[in-house]
Amino acid sequence: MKFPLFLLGVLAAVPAESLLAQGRVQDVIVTTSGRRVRGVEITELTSTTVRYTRSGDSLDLPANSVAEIDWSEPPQGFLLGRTAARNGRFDEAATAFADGAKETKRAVLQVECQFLEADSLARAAGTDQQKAAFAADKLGAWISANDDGFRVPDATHALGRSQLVAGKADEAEATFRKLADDALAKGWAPVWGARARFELARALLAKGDLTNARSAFQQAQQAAQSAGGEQPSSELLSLMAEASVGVGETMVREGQFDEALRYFRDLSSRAPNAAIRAAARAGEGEALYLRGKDPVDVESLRSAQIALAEANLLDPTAGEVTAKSLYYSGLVLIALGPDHESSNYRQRALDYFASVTREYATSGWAALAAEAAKN
Amino acid sequence: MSRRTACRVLSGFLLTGLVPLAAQETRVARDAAFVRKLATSLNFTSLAKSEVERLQAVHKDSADFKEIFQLGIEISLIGARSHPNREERRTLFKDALQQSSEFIERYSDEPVADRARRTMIEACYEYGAYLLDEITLARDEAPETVAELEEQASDVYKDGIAACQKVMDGIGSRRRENGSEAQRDYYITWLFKAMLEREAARASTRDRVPLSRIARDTFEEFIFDVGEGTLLGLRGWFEMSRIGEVLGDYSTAFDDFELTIESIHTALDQAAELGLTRDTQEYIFNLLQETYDKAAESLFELGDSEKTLAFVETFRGDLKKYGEEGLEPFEIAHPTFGHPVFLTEARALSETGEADKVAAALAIAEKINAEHPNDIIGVRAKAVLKEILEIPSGSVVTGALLFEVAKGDYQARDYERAIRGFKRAYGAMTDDEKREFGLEAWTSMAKCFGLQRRLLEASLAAKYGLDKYRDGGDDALVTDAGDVLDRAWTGFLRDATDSDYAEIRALKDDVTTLLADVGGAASEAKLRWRDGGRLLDEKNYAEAAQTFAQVPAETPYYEPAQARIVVAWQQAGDHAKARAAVKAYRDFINSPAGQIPGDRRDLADTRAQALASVVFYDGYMDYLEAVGRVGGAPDPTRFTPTITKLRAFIDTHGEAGAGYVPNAWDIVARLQIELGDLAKSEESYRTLRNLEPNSVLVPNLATAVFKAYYDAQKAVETEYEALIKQGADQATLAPVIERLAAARRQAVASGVDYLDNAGSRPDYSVLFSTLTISSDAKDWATAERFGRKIVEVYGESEDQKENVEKFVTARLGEALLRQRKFRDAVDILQTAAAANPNNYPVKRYLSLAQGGWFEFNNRGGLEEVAGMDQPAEAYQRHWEEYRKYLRSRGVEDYSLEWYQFNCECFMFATRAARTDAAKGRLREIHFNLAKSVDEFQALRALGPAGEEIYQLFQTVR
Repeated sequence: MKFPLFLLGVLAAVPAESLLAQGRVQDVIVTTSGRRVRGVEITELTSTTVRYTRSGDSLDLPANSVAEIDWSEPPQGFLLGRTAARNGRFDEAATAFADGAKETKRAVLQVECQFLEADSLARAAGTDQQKAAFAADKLGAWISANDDGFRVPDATHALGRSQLVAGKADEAEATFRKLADDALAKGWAPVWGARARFELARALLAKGDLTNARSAFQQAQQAAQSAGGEQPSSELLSLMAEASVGVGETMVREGQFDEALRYFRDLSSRAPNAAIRAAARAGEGEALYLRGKDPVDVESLRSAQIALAEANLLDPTAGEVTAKSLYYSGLVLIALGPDHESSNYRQRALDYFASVTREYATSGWAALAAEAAKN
Repeated sequence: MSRRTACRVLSGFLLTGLVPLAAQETRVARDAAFVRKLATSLNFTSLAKSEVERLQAVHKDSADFKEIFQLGIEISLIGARSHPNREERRTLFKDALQQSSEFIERYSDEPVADRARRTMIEACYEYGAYLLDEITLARDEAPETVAELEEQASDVYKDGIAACQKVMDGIGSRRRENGSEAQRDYYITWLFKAMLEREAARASTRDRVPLSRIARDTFEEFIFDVGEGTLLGLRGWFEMSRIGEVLGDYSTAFDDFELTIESIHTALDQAAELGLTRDTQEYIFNLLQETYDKAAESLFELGDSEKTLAFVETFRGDLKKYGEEGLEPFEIAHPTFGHPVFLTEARALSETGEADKVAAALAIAEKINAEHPNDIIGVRAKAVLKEILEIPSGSVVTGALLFEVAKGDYQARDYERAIRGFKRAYGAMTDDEKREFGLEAWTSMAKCFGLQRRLLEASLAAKYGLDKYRDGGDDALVTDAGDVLDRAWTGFLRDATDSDYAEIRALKDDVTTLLADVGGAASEAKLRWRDGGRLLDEKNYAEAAQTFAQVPAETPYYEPAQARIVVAWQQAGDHAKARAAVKAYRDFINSPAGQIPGDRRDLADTRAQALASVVFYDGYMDYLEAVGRVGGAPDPTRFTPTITKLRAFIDTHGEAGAGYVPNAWDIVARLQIELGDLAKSEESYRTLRNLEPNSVLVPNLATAVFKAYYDAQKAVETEYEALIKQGADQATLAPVIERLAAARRQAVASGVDYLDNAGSRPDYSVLFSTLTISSDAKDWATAERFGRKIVEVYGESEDQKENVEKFVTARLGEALLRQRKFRDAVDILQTAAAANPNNYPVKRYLSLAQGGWFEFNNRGGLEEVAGMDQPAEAYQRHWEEYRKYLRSRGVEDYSLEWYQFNCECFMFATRAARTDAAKGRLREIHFNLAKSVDEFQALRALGPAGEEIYQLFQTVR
């Protein structure tokens, strides 16, 4: 084949240096509306503002419009931690994030890794009081060192949860009240207010202050409704549902199973949306299980099976309610045991728990499922 | 992924241009062309491979053998590009590279080796691209593997670069022969070299900048030499521009791409003047599109969606200007080079977050997805669709689309994710969409639950769908939903052994009424189908076959029933009748009665599943006959054809017959073991393990693979021992020793792989065998690992406790003491000795741990190992207790074990004599015993082990 020669346009000799420049930082900001802002370098993250540069210009976005950040070439520790966290291996994730904080030279990413380490410790604690207390200390220290950080709302939320598990319900209550107040005062995303109120209700429930817990759940429901507006997100729907169910849970805690069942059935029939109906069925399943597990009342347990299966089916958010249904479905099988289930009941129960830890690793039920699988 | 498309464009120059004109007339050349077509145009890679094997057998003694062999390598590479299974692609790429290397090594100075080098260069480029894709995935899924993958990619690129240099060195003197094949090959290889260097930079996080510099230098030299105004020079500019993207410097990359586009414009505008042929113009036009693709991507990565969209408009303008008149830009755009630009447009549109733009993005991505059902662009389109669907703007994404995505997850067997997807899809559906897809959505969800063995959830989901949508629903879908409900509910009642409670009874009544309504017992076909299934479960095979044969032909159960007839006769052991049923079904499919209307996707799906079942069983029967499991002797000549058949089943029917694929891989692996191809059997085992990690086939096959490696090393060991007995010399022994060491390493590696994937209760015999082999191989760390594992799992088990105490503890102790972990060794050995005072091997190792020893290091020097520095105590135990044990076992004087005992006593005495002169006399006694009257000749005749003991006696003394 002959190679024809022809005149070229000017092909400028590109300076070697520009081609051989060091790798550029190319973070991606994902906003809550789904829009992605590419080709940026994030320079500062505060609880109200995300600052970045792009093509030499300095720009910013309100923090409450940022859903997540896709970091450019994060350190190996970050990648390992992220994968471990996704698979529910939070101990491993904590160690990896700690390594990531040391590996990176970017200050913003260092702070992020330190937060993720503390957060992973909290998730890894499960129901262990000592570990939860350690995680709470770590989170508290992080908050003190980064008092206006982007992750302060997340860290405060995790701190409150850790304090609750560590048996420090009063401290947890104070933390959640602060979270709710700060969310309002500092203009954080409205969902933080709803989350704070919901967790506050749980803290009161943990303290045994059932009357206040009931009204706190109702307030949480209202906060979630206001935050969600016409088209609430999955998470807010979930919060609304769980807050509604929380009222019933106070009755379960009092041992008032029949009253709780009446409440859940009534909630299910009048619920304005599928998320609450599903949550009500899951609450009903939980109450039936707790009533029927000891001594074993097979009729209650069978009813629990049906309620939990329906809750799973009907949960449009495929989130906390599904995780809860799966968890309790596993417990129901264990309670029914070999006398009432075929010989593979234990494996089926383990499969339920494994689904929770694997597919719903970030839900509150994952730690409980992991614990149940061990036993 | 235009890395690969670039290769394919250039490969047209590499692969096809070298066949001498005379050869194109030969039969071999025609056969080769046919085989290539099988693989490239028709995608029948397995058949192409079989055909190559047949041609190799036919031409094995002819001069064309090398050409055919080289063809086989090409087919491996073609298969590697297109195979849908990731693991299988990796295997095929590695095969192609390995075969190329071996071929080149064998025929390195012959002209045919250059052809192999060119295939190797392509294989390196393509395999490297595959590994880069794997690295991208691994960063998300398995970051701990990234470093290893980067190293693999680096090695592959290094090999490719070396091959390029070799080719260039070979034909460098002919590069100035204008218009010759050699000149063209030289420059193309040079360009490939630069591209490989660039990709090597991409693969290395650590050395990216210096490697990019090297690549740039190569590009610049190449462009200068070939001429920047030439076709290849243009190509070189484009490929060099991509260095910017490697470095993440998208701004510079975009500028360079723009300049390349300008040059291409000039060329196309002056095409007539320059006398460019149509082919050349087409090539340049495609290069233009490719450049736009990378340029648009670079602009997109810079984050400017508006500029990206404007740039794509410019692209549209160029398509209209230079493309065929009267067509729309999308129709003009090349499917491989041009469509990706529109994908970037879709991404840019979707990232604006504006509802109308997101809808437009969806439409573009869906269109491209439809145009590219099976290639990498389709994969990219699906990824874009997934990205768009994750945007929380619910009004934009339709329930119907979400439903398709969820079905994809179901087909990929990610059931929990599919369930989430079906829920989301149903929630997003309009009323019309619910009427059209609602029943199928709930039935699909039910199937997912069923596959997770959550049968109550499955029943409720199927029931929910039928309750709401059975009226007015498609008959086949209603029947399908009814089937699912029937199976799920039956299964739930089977599991819930005690279920006679009010709510369950109420549910049961509902289900029974529903099933009766949707064609339960009333349907004859369904009745026959269910009865046949029951008879099959009860092992009444002949009756089951007859019942299935009564299923009416015009019902949806007919074809599944035909498949079950095959299964029934096979289970009955009547292969003749089973094969007759296979033939009858195939004849039916090809008959007018077997035509399926185009809009009956459900029947097409059913047929695909039934046919997959039949094809699998056909291969399964071949396997059973080949290994002699159905009477008659094994027939090894059928092993390879059976492997080919089952591989073809996996390739062609694997999706529809997914349930059989694990069994198919299991059989393939076992036949590969029979053929002695252990490396391939291991690859097949890994494929099975990745596919179905929880399948019961996995541990069984792992054991079989391990056993094969174990038997292989045992065979070499037997050979070695026989040679020792014959008094073979070192020259004869040396290669056998090497083979034995390699066989042991492979067996140990197989055992380690087994343990890493075995779950909580690995098989005792595999663990113990690996322990002994690793001890024999002096791989003490592995021996320790396995010893500890056995103790952990079986130390307290009733059936193995005694064996653990008797045999395992001693070996574990030895592994520890050989690693100088004396304290640990002594602790374990003393505990074992106290528990079982008659365990003399334990006592032997206890003595060694306490008394120390002498040994030769890697450099041949003598080393003294002090142990716990208690040689006197060690000697006493050895002499008083271990000696008696040897006697009681009938160990003969002047045997290896006898010499070993005396040598150990000699070493203890030597060390003890330093503080107790009396021990010096004992030392001499043992030395003289061993020396005897033949000056150690009997010892030295016992092979390398004997020689080593002899050297110890001599050196220590």
